[in-house]
Amino acid sequence: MIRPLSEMAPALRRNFTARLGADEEVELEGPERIAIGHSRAMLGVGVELRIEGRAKRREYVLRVEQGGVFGTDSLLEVRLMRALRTAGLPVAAVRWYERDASVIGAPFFVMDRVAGKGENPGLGSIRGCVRLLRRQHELDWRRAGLAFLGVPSVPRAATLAQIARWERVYRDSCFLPVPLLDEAAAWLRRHAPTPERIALVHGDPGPGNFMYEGDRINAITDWEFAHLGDPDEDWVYMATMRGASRSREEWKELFKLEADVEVSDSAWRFWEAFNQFKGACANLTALRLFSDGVNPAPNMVAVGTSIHLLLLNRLVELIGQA
Amino acid sequence: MSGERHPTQQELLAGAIRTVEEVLLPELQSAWARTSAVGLLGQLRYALARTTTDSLAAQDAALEKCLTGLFEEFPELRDHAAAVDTSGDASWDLREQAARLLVFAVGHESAAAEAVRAQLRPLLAEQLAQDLAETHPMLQAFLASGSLGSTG
Repeated sequence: MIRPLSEMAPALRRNFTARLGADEEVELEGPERIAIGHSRAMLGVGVELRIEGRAKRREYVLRVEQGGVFGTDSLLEVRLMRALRTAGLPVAAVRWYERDASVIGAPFFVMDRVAGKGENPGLGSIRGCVRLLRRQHELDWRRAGLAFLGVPSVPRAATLAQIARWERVYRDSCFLPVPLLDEAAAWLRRHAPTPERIALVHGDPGPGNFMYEGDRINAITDWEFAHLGDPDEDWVYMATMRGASRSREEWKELFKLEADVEVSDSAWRFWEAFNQFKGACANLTALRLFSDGVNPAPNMVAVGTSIHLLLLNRLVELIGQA
Repeated sequence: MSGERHPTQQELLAGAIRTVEEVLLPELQSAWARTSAVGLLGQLRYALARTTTDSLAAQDAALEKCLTGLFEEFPELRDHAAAVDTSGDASWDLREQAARLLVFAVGHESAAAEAVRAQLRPLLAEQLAQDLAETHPMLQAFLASGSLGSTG
């Protein structure tokens, strides 16, 4: 568990001084918790420093591990973010990954703080997000060096791999089998469509996971679920998991208008079920971490029980209707 | 024993809820501390509601009854439900058997598969709805704190 914020400053000052190559110990503003994330704690710091005699001020964000919530990996995320930034996508610059948990109680990585906000985006920035998602899907992932994410042998294997991934996360975390999740995995395998192509999939796209100022998107955030796969996963995710501000028809219209994308009804049904499955499986890790005493925060038990059950309930409805 | 009356779990939890809500929450300035306190209230209310119920035992009993009925009607289902390793935990074994039957039933059109879909699946869905209702205090607190994003 990470240390109380009030106790972090001395160790962070030493860490930043060494990492930034400052002439003398830096001055720190913060850290303060800046977002209500569940897989990672997000802390903001302001740093005043001198390098080669020149005074500078920097704003950084620390993205801090929380014991492996959702079964995701920060090292992979760092590597991906660096590659995407090189490829020209709007992604925060990662400065370093600190694997030494003794600094603040857990490993973390440091990135430049991006201007803007993440909550309650207006239509203009949502349109921008849709266009960016299309651009992300169009990225030549081989050329961008993203094969480390795992290249499927055939396109359909990418979807089957994701079903297996989340099933494994569920089975590794659960205190008791969840028969309806096992049923869902079997149903998803049976109905998995064959993608037209393999693309870089964000895995958690949409409102809340991009920083914007007005209509301008400054950064896409939270890349921990990213993988190579069927881009329809992302379109349906944005509309059904992060898209409560708009109706399904409004989202479909936006996708058509801004990205020239149409997801078939059958694909929509499949990916809506898959994304509920992904969420229901991932959320069980939060309950495991809570019950094992790794992370006693109230949001962990809420995510691991009530949110998990909400997603599972919707998944059961969808499969029952199919 | 002293013979004195000790506070019950319900009284302890009810007291904790009031202390967080009436004393701590109004004094907290940081947004994250307030979010955590609201979440804690949901957690405590959930715990308070559970002091009078034992849903797992009742669910186990209903599940066992359903599985026994299915195996009697369709003995071939036992082959599909046979566990490779029996864990020694009755709750685990029941759910593992249920999982294997539901997986078997996916895409199968036999009378046995239909019986699994008609009897076992609705039972599990009903238990899911009960569990969801039980965790409602936490869901309410989660929503109130503005924490609801995608996966969680």
